[in-house]
Amino acid sequence: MSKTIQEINEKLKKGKAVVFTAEEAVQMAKEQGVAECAKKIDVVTAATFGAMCSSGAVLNFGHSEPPIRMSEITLNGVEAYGGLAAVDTYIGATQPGKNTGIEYGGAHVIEDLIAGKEVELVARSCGSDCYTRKDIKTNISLADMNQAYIFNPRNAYQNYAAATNTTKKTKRTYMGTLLANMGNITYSTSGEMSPLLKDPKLRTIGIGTRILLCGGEGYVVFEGTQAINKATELPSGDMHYAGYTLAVMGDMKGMSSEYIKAATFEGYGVSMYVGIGVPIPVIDEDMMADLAVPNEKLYTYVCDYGFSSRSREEIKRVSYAQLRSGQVEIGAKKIRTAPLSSLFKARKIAGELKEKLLDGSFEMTQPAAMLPHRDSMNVLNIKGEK
Amino acid sequence: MENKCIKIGLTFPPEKADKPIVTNLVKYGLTFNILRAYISPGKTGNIILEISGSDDDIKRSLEYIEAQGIVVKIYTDSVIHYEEKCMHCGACTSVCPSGALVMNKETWELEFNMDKCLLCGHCVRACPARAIKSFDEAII
Repeated sequence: MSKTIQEINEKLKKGKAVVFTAEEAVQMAKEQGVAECAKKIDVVTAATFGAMCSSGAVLNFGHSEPPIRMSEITLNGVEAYGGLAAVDTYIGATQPGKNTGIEYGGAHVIEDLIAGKEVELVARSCGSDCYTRKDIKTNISLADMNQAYIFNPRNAYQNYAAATNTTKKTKRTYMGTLLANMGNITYSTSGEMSPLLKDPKLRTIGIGTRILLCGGEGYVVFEGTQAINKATELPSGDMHYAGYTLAVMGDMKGMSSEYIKAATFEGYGVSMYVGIGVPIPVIDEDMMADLAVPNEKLYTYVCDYGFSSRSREEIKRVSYAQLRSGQVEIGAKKIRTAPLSSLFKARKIAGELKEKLLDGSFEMTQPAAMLPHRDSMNVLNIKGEK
Repeated sequence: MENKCIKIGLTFPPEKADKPIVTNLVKYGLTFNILRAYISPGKTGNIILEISGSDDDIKRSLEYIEAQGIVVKIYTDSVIHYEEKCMHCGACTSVCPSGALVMNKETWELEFNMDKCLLCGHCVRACPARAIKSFDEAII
């Protein structure tokens, strides 16, 4: 038995397709088995809502009269990139404000714009014969702009190490506040709802896959930065997948501030919670087998974030079911766990995508190209240093 | 008579910061738990207490404390969880020492129980969305 995306889209149009959220599909597979699910289900919606630092927005302001070629740009006091054409810019989510620091940064500007608020645009230029204006100060909203789209180079991490801290001092990290002496563990993956854990071999998600991005229509546009295919077979036969990422884009004008949230990580910096929903077509039974994998059989490592190193010590492999139980045992110690990504929001996104597929307002796309396989990731060697 | 348990904040003026006053609450029939106590560089003293006793005993002891020139604040909602700003990520639950902030394991929504709150204020700084606030400088 196998189905194409086109065939499933036809079924959706006729109102005959069956769409389940990832959690519903996992539950049904536990009750009825993978083969039965493969026959019954056409699409499974996966979703995640977590902090994704490698995010930002491309904006075009339109031209003033007389025009300016903006080179130093701030939006609500947050610096945006001035090295593109006259009135194009890119604002990065993690950029702290010049006066507001990490309490209000790039992600906050993006969230405010999506919420429909005006932001203050200040820009300077050295001026030229064709762009005589040297400075500008005005308020601008999303509706005033020409194009405004999210372009996130690394989102939707397939899997992410859970964090703990073995040192004697509290550490403030992008994985939250980590208490001394392994006082807590934080984790940040939606587990059995996570898009790239549900399609771990990248059989259906590719370049051009239409997704829900921050509540609006978006696309997978490339492999994400630092993408790597890691797959380890455990003695139990379960697979431990990790490492792949997606670059995504989407029109900010269709987005909802319910599915994007600026974040301040104390002692670390600004980040942005991004909501992503991905429809995964049940093209065959093997696909359904991957979609059916529950939290009990999805794994990550608890790593030591107490030290600053690009390779962190992997302390223990744990399942997402263990992490979600609220407690993980390491040695003789029972350690409290806490999520950082919102499962509540991920569920809402998966549910909303399911509704959109069923009511015909969201059609699945055939990828224009599949995502490349990456065996390794480079590190930055400091040349000349002994 | 039924015992009541409330959380209070005491601000001692500099000339009283070194006086043993809280210990006298025992004489009014109260039990107390010191949640936080410190003296600032300007010698103003702050104590956050959980006290329990009958309504009458609590009333009489608060009158006694105020008569000593100490400012009393009764905490009912001094740590505020703004639900509309909360994205239910769970970051605050990782630093909450008393289990006042927990995730509901069915809905994965954040639940806040003020009765269990020790007013430590760790959640205020740990919340990435700044959805937990305190207006009391003694807490943050």
